[in-house]
Amino acid sequence: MSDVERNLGTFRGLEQAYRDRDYDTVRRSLTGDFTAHTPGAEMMPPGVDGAIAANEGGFSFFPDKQTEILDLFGEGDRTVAHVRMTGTNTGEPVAWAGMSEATGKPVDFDWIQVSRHLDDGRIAEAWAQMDSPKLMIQIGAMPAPGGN
Amino acid sequence: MRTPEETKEISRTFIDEVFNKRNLKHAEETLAEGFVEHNPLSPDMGNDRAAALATMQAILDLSPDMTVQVDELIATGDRVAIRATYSGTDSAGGWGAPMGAPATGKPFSVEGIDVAILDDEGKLTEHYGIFDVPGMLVQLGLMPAPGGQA
Repeated sequence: MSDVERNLGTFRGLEQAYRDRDYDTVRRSLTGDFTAHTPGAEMMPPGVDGAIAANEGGFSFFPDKQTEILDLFGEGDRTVAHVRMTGTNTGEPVAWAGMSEATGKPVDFDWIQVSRHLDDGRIAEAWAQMDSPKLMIQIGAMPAPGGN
Repeated sequence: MRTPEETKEISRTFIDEVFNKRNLKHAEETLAEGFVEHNPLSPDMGNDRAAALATMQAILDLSPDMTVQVDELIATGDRVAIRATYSGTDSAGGWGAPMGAPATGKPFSVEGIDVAILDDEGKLTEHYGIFDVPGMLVQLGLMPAPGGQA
């Protein structure tokens, strides 16, 4: 098994662990001082705790949250993933988007993540971009382009 | 099949020609028939080749002085991920136009991640990409910073 195949396996296992809220596996898949270069990451606790807090935040807004890996590939110590998330905002209001009430609306949006893996497969660093404008439009926190 | 390095070279040339030299003709020559654009600038553009070209033209028109710096390329034979920084001035039509805001004249510098899928001839068949729109709107003063800091 090449390093890339192993890294892709680590990423798949990590996404499954986020779905299952299996934080032992999350802590085995990320380094303790994991760094997220993601817009909004500065609002989260540092390291692996921030990644866990972000996942718990997702479940608090969207209790029926589901994710699907749409695309996954790698080269060297990097993996690239395109992930889709669906859910319904029946939990907490999405406060970071300026919402004071849960809207009950469904969301369907995606993100792209580049991860840097160590020689043992663990992820030490990640860069991600999330289509948060799409999410904000879907819950009514931002007007749709063209005013629809 | 191409090597990862050859795939990277195709994407480097594409970014430089289309976004830095503003040569949309290069995109017309490089996008395959049947190209699929997963992230058009606006959903009403659709997802076909024409939507991709219209999106690139709109981005160039929105920021006449925008430049793109490639920060990292990750590739296989048929896929390439591009981490890049987009810097320029909010002028012309203005990035806030969908929100009813005029061009602010302010500078911006934001990151994005794009993935292109290529066929055997090196033509692009598919693209998805997300850049930091909220970060840009905060820099232009069109949206409050998360956490309430303007």
